[in-house]
Formats: sequence, structure tokens, C-alpha cells
Amino acid sequence: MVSRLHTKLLRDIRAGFWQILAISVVAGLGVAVYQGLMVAYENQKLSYAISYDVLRFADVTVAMKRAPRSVVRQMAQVPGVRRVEGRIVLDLEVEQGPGRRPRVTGRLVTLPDARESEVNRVRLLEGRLHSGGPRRDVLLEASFARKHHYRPGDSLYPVLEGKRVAFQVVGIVSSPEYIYPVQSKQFLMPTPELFGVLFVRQSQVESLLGMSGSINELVFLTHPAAADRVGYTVMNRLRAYGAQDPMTRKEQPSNLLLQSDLDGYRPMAVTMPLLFLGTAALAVSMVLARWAQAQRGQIGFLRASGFRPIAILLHFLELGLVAGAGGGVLGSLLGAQFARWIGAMYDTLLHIPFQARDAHPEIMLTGVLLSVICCGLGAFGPARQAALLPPAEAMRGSAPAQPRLAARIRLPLIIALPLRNLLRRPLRTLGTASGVASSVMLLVLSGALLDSMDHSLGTYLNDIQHYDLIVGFAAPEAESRVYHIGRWPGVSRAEPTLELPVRLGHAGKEEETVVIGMTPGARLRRLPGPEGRAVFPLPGGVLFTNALVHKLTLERGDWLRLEYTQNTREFRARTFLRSGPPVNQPVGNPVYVRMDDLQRRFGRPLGLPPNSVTGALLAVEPAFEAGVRRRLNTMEGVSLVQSKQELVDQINELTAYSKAFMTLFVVFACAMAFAVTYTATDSVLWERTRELATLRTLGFSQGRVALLVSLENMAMAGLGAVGGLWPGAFLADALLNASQTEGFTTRIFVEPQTYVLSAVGPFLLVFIAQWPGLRRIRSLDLAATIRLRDE
Amino acid sequence: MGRSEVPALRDVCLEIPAGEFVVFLGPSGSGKTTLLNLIGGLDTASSGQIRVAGRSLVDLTEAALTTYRREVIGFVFQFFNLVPTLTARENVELVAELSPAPRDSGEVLAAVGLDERQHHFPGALSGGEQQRVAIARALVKRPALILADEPTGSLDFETAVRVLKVLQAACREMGHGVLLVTHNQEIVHMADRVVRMHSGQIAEVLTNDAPADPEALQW
Repeated sequence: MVSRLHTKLLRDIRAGFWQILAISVVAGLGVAVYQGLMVAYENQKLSYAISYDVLRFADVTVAMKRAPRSVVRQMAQVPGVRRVEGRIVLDLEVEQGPGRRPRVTGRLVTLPDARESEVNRVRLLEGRLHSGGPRRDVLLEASFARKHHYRPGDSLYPVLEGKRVAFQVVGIVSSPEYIYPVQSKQFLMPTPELFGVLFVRQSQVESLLGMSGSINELVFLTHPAAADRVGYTVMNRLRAYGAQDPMTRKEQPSNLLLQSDLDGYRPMAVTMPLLFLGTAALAVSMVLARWAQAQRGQIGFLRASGFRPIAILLHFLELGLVAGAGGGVLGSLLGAQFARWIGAMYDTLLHIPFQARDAHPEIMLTGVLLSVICCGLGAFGPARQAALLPPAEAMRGSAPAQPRLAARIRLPLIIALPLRNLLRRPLRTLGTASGVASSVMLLVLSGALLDSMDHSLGTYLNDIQHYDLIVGFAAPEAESRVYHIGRWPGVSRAEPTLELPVRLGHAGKEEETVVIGMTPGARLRRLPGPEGRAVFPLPGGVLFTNALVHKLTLERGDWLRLEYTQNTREFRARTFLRSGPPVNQPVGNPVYVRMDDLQRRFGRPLGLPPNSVTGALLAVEPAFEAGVRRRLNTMEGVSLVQSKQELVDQINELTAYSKAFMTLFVVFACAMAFAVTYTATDSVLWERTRELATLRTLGFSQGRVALLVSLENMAMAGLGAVGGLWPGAFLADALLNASQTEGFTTRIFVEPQTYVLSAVGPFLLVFIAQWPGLRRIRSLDLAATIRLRDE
Repeated sequence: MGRSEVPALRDVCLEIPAGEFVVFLGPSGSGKTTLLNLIGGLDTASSGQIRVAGRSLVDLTEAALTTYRREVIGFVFQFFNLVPTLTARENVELVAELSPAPRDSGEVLAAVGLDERQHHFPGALSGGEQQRVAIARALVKRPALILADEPTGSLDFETAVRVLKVLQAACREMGHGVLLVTHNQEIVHMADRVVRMHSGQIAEVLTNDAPADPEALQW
């Protein structure tokens, strides 16, 4: 037979069903966020691991100028090498047919002719792999193919040795090297509209480039932990062939950015659920404290009858555990959907060769347990208090109040009553206000995350980049070419830009990025410094982003080493510059140097022509933009033309899923705020049903009773709102700092309306949330309620 | 200002034979409820001895006091203290679970005249009915002693008489000792023994050789 104490528990749950459900919803949201984020996180990690494993993603890569194919066999003998493949990798211009962007940057990557590659294989998604025969087949990396709507049978035209050569697309593939398809570490976001990877047969490239029997890159699979050693051994042995510094898997651009993305994701996956579950614990505590108060007489009787304290403790604890279990179940159902949704988002963003879609029951179980534990912990305090209540005291009814301050209130009764109620038990009032505060905190937090992201992107797109078109040259060109473009009709301003990949060094730390040359008086790219003032590099100085300040532990005035990343024996460039003030640039981590400084310090050592530039920023009158683009696209040596709008679209596409996350958090926070507010207000009404019923029997109108309750609840909401605003902004700042990725440095920014809505929201929610409770009181059988000593 | 201690009971010395119906009479603040709580193991005395059914309550731990209450005492309170979410029968069964050999809950409810009302919730019962549920709840675990604190304090005359009859039956027919606290002078006529209290002390103890039937009481 079910114990009658359990019958009581079930009936209590039924009577307070909506409160328990509200708590379960809060806990469930926490579990859903935890499960969704953790399952997605684990699946992403697993997807990368499987893809890397199955497709034999290289542990280390060594690029060379040119070497005979025979080095492959020699390097296979290097201790620690498991497999090695030699290939040709070449960046070049690719012309596209009508209806597509005329020119893009392509990367030719060779695959063996008659066998699968030993290292860095590709996975066929559509079409077929290379076949033998003389026809020029190409396999396109999926993100580029999808962006430009390539299907098997289409053609495209790489420019090899100055000649436009037709290749036919036979298949669409994904590659472990280009899951995050960036050209190099200096490109922090994929630009499939501008850059694509073309996998072609080795023999065809060899003949087209006159590189018969040659390779320019070696990719290795090594024994565990041997990658560094193998890389340096190979580099040293192949110095004669122009071997560059080895690149381990950890440094490989796609993998580096994917890892950075995962690392940035984890704090969110831990913090957000904890906040939700913590709030659920608070809500449980708040409700049970009031339930225990309302049931003091019953507790007293139970204890007087011989029920042991442990029975009372477990009885109240069970209420918390039930809410937690309910939250666990709700959360795991919602979390599974959430995880699927995140997985689908990644699918649209990345082409991962092998997708893991595990349900991760261990995470689900952990989520349920976390919910039960958090709600159990929340219940423990009030349950313990109830259990330790001396029976004689419990039987006396209300707990001793602290009336001194309350008694001093000399105000009209309609205000004094609610205020006295709040002051009578300040700790419990604070407890309830904390529940509201935690929901306000989450509202501010999620709103602030969204605001900060919008603000950061706004800063980058509106405050820094003022150009209409950006032009990139295939090879460095004379500065005069930019001024020539500047005289075209419709071009109101043309500013040269010189960008070079560099490795920065300071205090024993290194970071690869790009250095950008700035011409004095530049207007199309402005650099916001501290307090938003525009800054410009001084002669011999370098400006760097805030993110680099932390990464390289830089301070203003420090000497920073800049080294060209593709130094060879013939051309080496390295210089030291003094750090200026940091630039508030949220996207990318470039460093800025004066154009003449950069040309002098890097141009000559690298063998560049005098006054070389690598591109231009253009301001173009809207009516002329299409014409200028057409002209640029047909201009020799121009490899990139991108409008500001395309950059905006590209960033929006890339950040769409982060924004969707944040928006979902806002929705979750709103749902939680409602649930907590409902719990807070309804538990007040629950506790005071008899008192309010008495007021009604005394002749108080329903409206007056509602006003009394509303004033008390509003005061509590006000306390909560004040208490939740600052912690929300503080947490958002901490979370943003912990979640920075390689490409994005988002700084805290909270729109005033976020504060206003977060602060005003609880009042509105209180108004809605107390309505069911007030309705219950209106429909009470007053006589029956008053007849009961304890409700 | 410092706090001064006010003793609720002083120099109380009393012996009650088992199975008697004893009424503690006195004005508010006379210490009768405190004495009842001490006997029931709800409060502990700062000094002195209390022995009930051969057990000394003075040195008992909280856990031992709980066991004592569970095995020896049945409580009836002025405000019933029923669990509002349990029916009359479930309220009785709740306490029956504490006893190794309880009475049948249905029979006990029938004995207090609530056979027809056992599946009603407290909110649907009158004050007298609720108090009879409370008595049934005390009786079900066969306590040696029923402690009733102002059981008729919030009831009208007729209902109070009905409740008193049930308590008297519990004493006379079922053999439970009943200690009843009241400030109602009339109730003393149905007691075997009357303990008059005043200012925390026993003013006098009277025995009644011919206890009246509750129906003969008038107030």
C-alpha cells in the first residue's frame, strides 16, 4: 500500500501542480541547454575525429618550393612516420563561366592518379572520383561547389602558367583539411564565394605546370606524439628544396579554427545550464519554504504523532526531487531536439565528411541527474528546516515574526500591509526576490550576449570598414595601379593596401596573422582606438587588436617581432616595431603598420617591386558600382573583388547560428523568467490563501485583495529586478571573455533597452503570473477555507 | 534590555493512575497546555521528573521522545491539525502506519460516528466532524494516553458534547487514559479527576466518584 505520507505528497503536488511544473520547466530548460550543447559538442568532436581518422588527416605537413618525387620514399624512412604522400599544392586564379563570379582564388591540390591518397583523402558526396584518361577532371570541395552551384558536368577554368585551362567537374567532395574552408590561418572565416579547393590528378598538374616527377608538399601520418619531431627532421633534410616550417595538425588552419570554435563553445555549454539549474534550485527552495510555512500545523501534528524528523525531511525533499525528475524528463526531450537542431545548423555551415549523430545517453542521464540533484539541493534547506521544527512550536502556527521594522511603517493600510508582509520575514522575501533576480540576470545575460554580438559586428562593418569594394591583386603590384583605378568614373576614392602574412612574437609567445599597411590620411578603413578615438600607426610603430594584447601579453611601448611566415633561404623578412595603442577590432586579429614602413621593411627583403601593394579599397558611387566591378573583373592581375555588402552577407551567414543560439537563450530566459515569477507569486498566494480568504469575508473586494497581492508581488519583482541587472551584465562579460574564438573578439555591450526590458519584464510577468492564483482565490469556498486551520 | 525567564510551571507534583479521564482546568496562561506538552514529550522540562507508563521523559533524546510519542501518546488539538489534502480515512491511516498493531481505520471512524464521512476531505467536514477525525486519528494506534488540548474550544455546544462523548467512550470502553485541557468549568463534571491550575502551579486536585455523562452537561 502506498504510504499515506506519499498520498499527501501526491495530493500536494496535484494542488501545487502548476508551481511544480513551473519549477520543472526551469530545470528542464537547464537540462535542455546542457544536453543540447553537450551532445552537439561531443558529436562535433566525434565527427571531426572520425573524419580525421577515416580520411587520414595529416599529422604534419611540410611545404617546399619544389622537390623530386623520390623524396617521398626517403622521408618514409624518417623515424615516427607511418604514412607519407607527396603532392602539388598551388594557389591560382580560377575563372568561372557565365552566371558566376568571374574570378576566384583557387587552390589546386593533387591526388594520386591510380590509387587513393595515403594521407588526406577526400570523401565523395556527389558524382564520381577521378577516372583515368586524358580528360581534365576536377573534384570540387563542397562549400565552394555549393556556393557557386556547381554540379558534376559543369566546367571551370584555372589559370595555369598564364593559360586558361578547362576542367570538368566530376564530383563534389569533402575533405578533412577543409571542413572549415579557409585559405590560411590569416583568413579567420571561410569565404567560399571567393576561395575554392580543386582536387585534380597529379599527372595532369605535373604536365600543365611542367613539374613532371615533382612535388611541393609532403603530408605525413605519424606515430603518436611524433609529429613535431618528424616535421623538423623532414624540414631540415629538405632545406635544399626550400622546405618551410612544418605545420602540425594542431596548427592546420581548418582544424585550428574548428578547435577554437569548440573551445569557445564549451564555457557556454557549462555556464548556461548551471545558471538555469541554479535558478531551478532557488525556485524549489522558494516554493518549499513557503509550503513548509503553510504546513507548519501539519508538520507539528506529524512530529507530535511520532513521525521522525527524517520522514519529514524526506517528505519535503521528495517534492524537490519530483520537480527535478520532471525537469529531467522535460529537458531530455527538449534537449534531444535542441541537439538535433544544433547538428543541423552545423550541417548547413560546414561540410564534415562523417557526421556523428549519437544520442549520448550518458549526457542525457547526467542532465536528468543534474536536474534531480539541483532541485534536491534546493529542497534540502526548507526540508531540513521543516524536519527540525520543534513540534510544539510548529503547532503554535505562524513562525515568530520580526515585527519591529514592520510595525514602524505608518502608511495607508493598502501600502503598509504588503510592506509589512515583506518585512516580517526578510530572509524569505530575499529568497523569493533572488528567484526573480536570477531570472532577470538570465534575461540580461542572454540579451547582453546578443547585443554584444550585434554591436561588435556593427563596429567592424560600420566603424572600421568604410569601403564599397575591396580589390585583391593576384601578385603584388605597383601602388600607381591603385591611383589609376581611382581615376575611373564613379570611383570617388581609392586607397592602396598591402597585406602580408606574418608571425608575431613577444614574450616567448607567437601568433600568426596578417600585417596591413595603412596610408596616411586613409579614410576607407578607420581604426577605433581606446575610447573610440581613431588611431593611426606612427612611423616604426604597430597597432594591434585587443585580442592580441591578451594572446601576446603586449603593452603599449613593447617591441613586437614581425616575421614573414613564408621565409625561405632566398627571401627572409623580419623586423621589430614598437606597439601603439590597441585597436578595438572585433573581427580578425590583423596588425597595422604605416604603408611606407611595411614597404621598406618587408618589400625589399622579399624581393617585391618598389611601392608594392596587394590590393585596394574603393569608395564607389552606387550607380557606378556594377560597372566598376565588371571592369575590375576583366582587369589583369585582379584576383578578388568583393563588395561591402558581400562581406556583410558573409559575416551574417557565418554568425547566423551563433545569433540563433543567443536568440534561443533569450527565449529560454523569457520562459524561465515567467516560470520563476509564476512560482514566486503563486507560492505567496498559496501560503496566504486563508489570510486572503479572511480579508474577503471581512468585506474586502476582490479588486482590493488583488491590489494588496499585486503591490507585494511588484515590490518583490522590483527587488529582484534591481538585484539581477548587474550580475547579468557581469556574467555576460565573463562568459564573452571565456568564449572568444580565433576569429571573433566580442566585447560586452548592453543596449539600454535590454536593461529596461529585463527590469520591466518581471513586473509584467508578475501581473500575468499572479492571475491564475487570484482567480483561484476569487473562486474559493470561503467558508471551507476558513474552517481549515491549515491550508 | 535583557530577557528575563518566565517559568511556565513551578512546583508541580502530580500522579495520575492509568485509564483515568483527567481534566486540567484553568485560565489562559495557567500552564495547562505546557503541562500537557511535557507529558506528551513535545516540550522538555528544565528540571524535575516526568514518568509516563513507567518511562522517565527527562533524559530522553529527541529520537527517544519521538518513539515515546509514537508508541504511547495520541494527540487531539483544538484546531484539529488535519492534513487537508487527505480524506478523513487517509488522515487516520496516516497515523495508523506508525503503529505495529493499529486498529482498523474504518472501524475507528465508525466508532466516532463518521462511517458515512470517511472519504470526505477535511474542507467538506464540519468542525465537530473534523475533531472526531482527529480523535479517531489518535485512537487508531492504540495509545496508552490521549492528550486533548481544548478539543471543544472551537466547537458549539452540541458538537462539543458529541466530541466529549467520543473521548469518554475512548476512556471507558477502549481503556485509554485521557488527559483533557480546557478552561470550560462544565467539563470537569465528566472527569474522574480534576486538576485546577493557576499561574503555573497546581491549585488543587479533586477526584470525582460519579463522573457525569457528557449529555448531562450544560453551558
